[in-house]
Amino acid sequence: MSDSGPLLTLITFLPLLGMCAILFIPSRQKEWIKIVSLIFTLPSLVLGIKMLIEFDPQVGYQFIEKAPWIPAFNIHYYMGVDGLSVPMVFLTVLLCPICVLASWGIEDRIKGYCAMFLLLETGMLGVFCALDLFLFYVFWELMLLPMYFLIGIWGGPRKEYAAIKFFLYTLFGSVFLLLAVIAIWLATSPHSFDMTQLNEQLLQSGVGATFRNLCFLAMYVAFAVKIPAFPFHTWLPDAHVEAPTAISVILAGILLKMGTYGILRVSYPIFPDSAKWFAPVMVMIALINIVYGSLCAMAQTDLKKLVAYSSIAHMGYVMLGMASFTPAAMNGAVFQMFNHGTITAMLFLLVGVIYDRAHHRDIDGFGGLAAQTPIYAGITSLAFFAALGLPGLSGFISEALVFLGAFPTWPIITILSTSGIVLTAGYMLWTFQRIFLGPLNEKYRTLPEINARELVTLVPLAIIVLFLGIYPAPMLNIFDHAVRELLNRIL
Amino acid sequence: MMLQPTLSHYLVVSSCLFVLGLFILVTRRHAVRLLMGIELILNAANINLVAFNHYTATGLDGHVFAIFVMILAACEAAVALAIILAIYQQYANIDIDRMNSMRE
Amino acid sequence: MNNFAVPILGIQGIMPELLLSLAAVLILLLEMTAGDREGHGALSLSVAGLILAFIATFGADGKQVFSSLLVNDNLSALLDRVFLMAAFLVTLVSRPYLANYGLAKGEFFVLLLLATVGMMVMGAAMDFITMFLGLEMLSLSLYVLAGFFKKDVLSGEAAFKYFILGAFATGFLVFGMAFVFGALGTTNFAAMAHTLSAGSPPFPSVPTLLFGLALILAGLGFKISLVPFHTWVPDVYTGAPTPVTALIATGSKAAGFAALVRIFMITFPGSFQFWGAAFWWLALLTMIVGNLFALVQVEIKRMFAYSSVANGGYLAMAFLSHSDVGIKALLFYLFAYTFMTVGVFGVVSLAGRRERLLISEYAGLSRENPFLAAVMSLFLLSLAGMPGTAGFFGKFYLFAGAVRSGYLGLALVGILTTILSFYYYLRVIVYMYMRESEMPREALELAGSGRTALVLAAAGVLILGCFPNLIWISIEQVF
Repeated sequence: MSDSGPLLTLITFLPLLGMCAILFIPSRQKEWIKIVSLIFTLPSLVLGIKMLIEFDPQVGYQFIEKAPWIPAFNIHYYMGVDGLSVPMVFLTVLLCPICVLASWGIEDRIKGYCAMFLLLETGMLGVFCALDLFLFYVFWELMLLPMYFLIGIWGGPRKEYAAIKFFLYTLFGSVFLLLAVIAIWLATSPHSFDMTQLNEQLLQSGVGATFRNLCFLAMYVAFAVKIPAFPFHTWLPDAHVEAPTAISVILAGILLKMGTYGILRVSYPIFPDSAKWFAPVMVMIALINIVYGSLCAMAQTDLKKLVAYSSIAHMGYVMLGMASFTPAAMNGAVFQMFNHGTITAMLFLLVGVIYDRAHHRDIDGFGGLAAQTPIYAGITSLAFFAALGLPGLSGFISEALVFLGAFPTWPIITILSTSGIVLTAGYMLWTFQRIFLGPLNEKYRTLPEINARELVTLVPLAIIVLFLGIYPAPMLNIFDHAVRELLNRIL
Repeated sequence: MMLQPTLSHYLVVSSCLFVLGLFILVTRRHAVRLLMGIELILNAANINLVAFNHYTATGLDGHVFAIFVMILAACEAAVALAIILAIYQQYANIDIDRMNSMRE
Repeated sequence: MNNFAVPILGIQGIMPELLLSLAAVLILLLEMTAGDREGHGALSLSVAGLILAFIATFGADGKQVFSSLLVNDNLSALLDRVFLMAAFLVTLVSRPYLANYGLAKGEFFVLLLLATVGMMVMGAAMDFITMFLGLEMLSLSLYVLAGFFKKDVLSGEAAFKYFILGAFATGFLVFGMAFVFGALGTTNFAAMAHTLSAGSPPFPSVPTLLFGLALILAGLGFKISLVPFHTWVPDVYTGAPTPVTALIATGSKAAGFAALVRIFMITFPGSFQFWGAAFWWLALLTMIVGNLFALVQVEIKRMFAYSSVANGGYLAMAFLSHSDVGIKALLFYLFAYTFMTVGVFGVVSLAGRRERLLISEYAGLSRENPFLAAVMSLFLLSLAGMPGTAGFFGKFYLFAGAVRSGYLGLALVGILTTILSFYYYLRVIVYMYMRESEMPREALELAGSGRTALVLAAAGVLILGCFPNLIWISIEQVF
């Protein structure tokens, strides 16, 4: 037991406090609104680092807080983190201040924007910290709403369409999640929402395999929409293209992870046998995600859409790792979740940088920018190489782990999946060449170089990508124990 | 031979009044007639209350209830006539079929 | 029962009702003597009366007063609080709304208070006579309130339609009450329950009783606008002055449900096998029809009228869990529903410079008045059942109750129609935030009391949505 006080509550709800504070600032004070929201994302980051340091990888759930919330239904306010959630919480608190900085250019109704953003942060952190299934669901839904507003109000030309598509897909998934949650609650006696106990309780009450598989499937739909796994992925390119830069970063960096996190945190531990039963399907979907995502990415001319499709492919690696049930593959999957969060965040930030200057994202509309903006080109090349899995950068480690671990379980599919690496390398390099190399496009002779604020958002991520590429052990240590525990449950 | 009235007789009468009131409400279009239909329904209930009280109950509940219904029916009529008057000033007639401003 | 020899006079048992009536009389006097043109005095007196009455509801002692005509138990105290809150919020919204149309007269507040007294009498009634009395007090006040805009054609029409169908429903109700009285020989609920449990109805006819109950259900079904008795709702809700619509949609509906609870769930729980199916069908139809019709409306008040119908369907589901679980869920939802519905109608009252706006005319409201747009979104999301708002737990309790009692199918229909409702609630948000108004309008100013009402309603929605237990504790004490 830790004596660090309500650490997780503070991390989760400080942004909400910030939201309340912002509501009291007059709308005219645009600068102050941004500064205050930045200030209110920082304590969570500090506390998140504190949590990372104090976390003991050898113990299960830590920093636990438990209090009755709705006694009539045996619902608790139950927060706690283990090795699986710590990296995700850290990723969230890291990306949020970066995103506030990246939103500095937004002027229109900035008060609402910042309020929604902070609400979103609370929702995301809540999902990663909740150990009560009902609480998990509440946070899960809570997150949906600010996202809808952020895309729908501050998005691009087709914002309304993108927002409603995102909303409907996610809502569709959420309903299945709700049904599964209620079914589980009814099946346990005494009725319970305690995620850490549900597996045993369900076994005790002796529900059949069909029931478990159905619940697993219902939850899978909810999570698959978020991942997004084929065939529920079509909302993603629209949402990404229309969303403002910072929101794309959150969407790709954190929201997508919620899908896979949900499977690892909720579905696998509660229904371990269904996990095995479903693995062959999941691995096929992973393969489709990888190959189809990469091919689509290759066909794009819009830079943001390209990154969006590459996200689909990269989440495919995570699913491949999760469906393989070997320590290496599972570790790789969790690591890939973290790495993809940092790398894609960089990619979207970089797209935002060029879009702010050129006001378009057409890959063929640039050319030779490396000469004009060398620093920008340098960072972009780092992000691109990380995305295609260049050894020495963090993406390589996680992808290698996934493939190494998956091969014994699914040899053929793993071999087919490696084509994704080749394709990714292909389109990433090709894109890089079209934008940065060759003769300089005359239109952009005066294109300004990346500025200090933008560098501040990118450099921390670049450092993490480099550091974990060279020395991944600290991160792997955090979740290795939790991953093995999960595997013991399943196997 | 004098017919000795039983409960059923009263019930038949009240049911006839009720159905008559219902019929008026469904078919008539004149606002004051509708009001009469409502009065018929309420009086059907009154007959029932008094008859039931006479034949089946021991206390005075039914009678008291009937008096309350009468009083409140009078109140209803007063309010209704006021509303009808207000409408008359707007439309210069009180045919409810003309009252369809909301479905233009 | 009927112990006329020793009438237990319990003035303290009707303290809240008395205080409100007193306030109403004082406003009338003030109107006559001082000539309170702006309605400030009426507003302060109403507010004072409502707050005092609210405090007085905490004196519930569970005793029956006036020869068992009224009961002063925890259930009636809780219902009183729902009514008083609805009336309080509506009063605050009414002042600026009426001032906008130059009609801030004292009568409005008097009628509003009297309607509230009627609701409270209905909620506390232990006898058909008092229930009828309360219902009439409520209805008569509302008929006049609905037609309060004498110069407005639609308002008069709404009043007339409301009157005809309301009086028609009352006729059904009284006719049904007469039959129940005929079957059991008493109009007192406790005595009825006693007679039934003794197993010896003096007039041994279950059919008479059931016929009476069916008519009562139809009569009250009109009042709470269950499908197929809902046809008056769209016209009346649209035509009546918006704060009045808010009161009809919340207080009056809550009073109707209170009467249903007293009659069906407390007095005749044993006959569930007969009336359960009726509620099942009513709930099903109401949820489906209400939501489907709300989907296609273009006028905002009409849309909320159908949404209010749909909510009646969710509430009707509570009667199927024939135990205290249902009543508790119903009470919770009434609280939540009151906050969010008064909230939306409050925004509708204050957002338009004229009555009866189209949904598309809400475009750009987020720029004209960000506060109104923000609270409106909150109320809409609560109506849609978003977690973190009162509406979510309200629906959760209702659906969970239905599932527990074995009505899985009905609960699923509830969930599916709720998802459907997201569409039309979100549409308003889309207009407010994502579309710009065609002609740029200047900022919309909000009068103080209107803002207060909306802030209170929003706070209620959020507090119930985050800490449902606060209210649940007092609901648990009902039984």
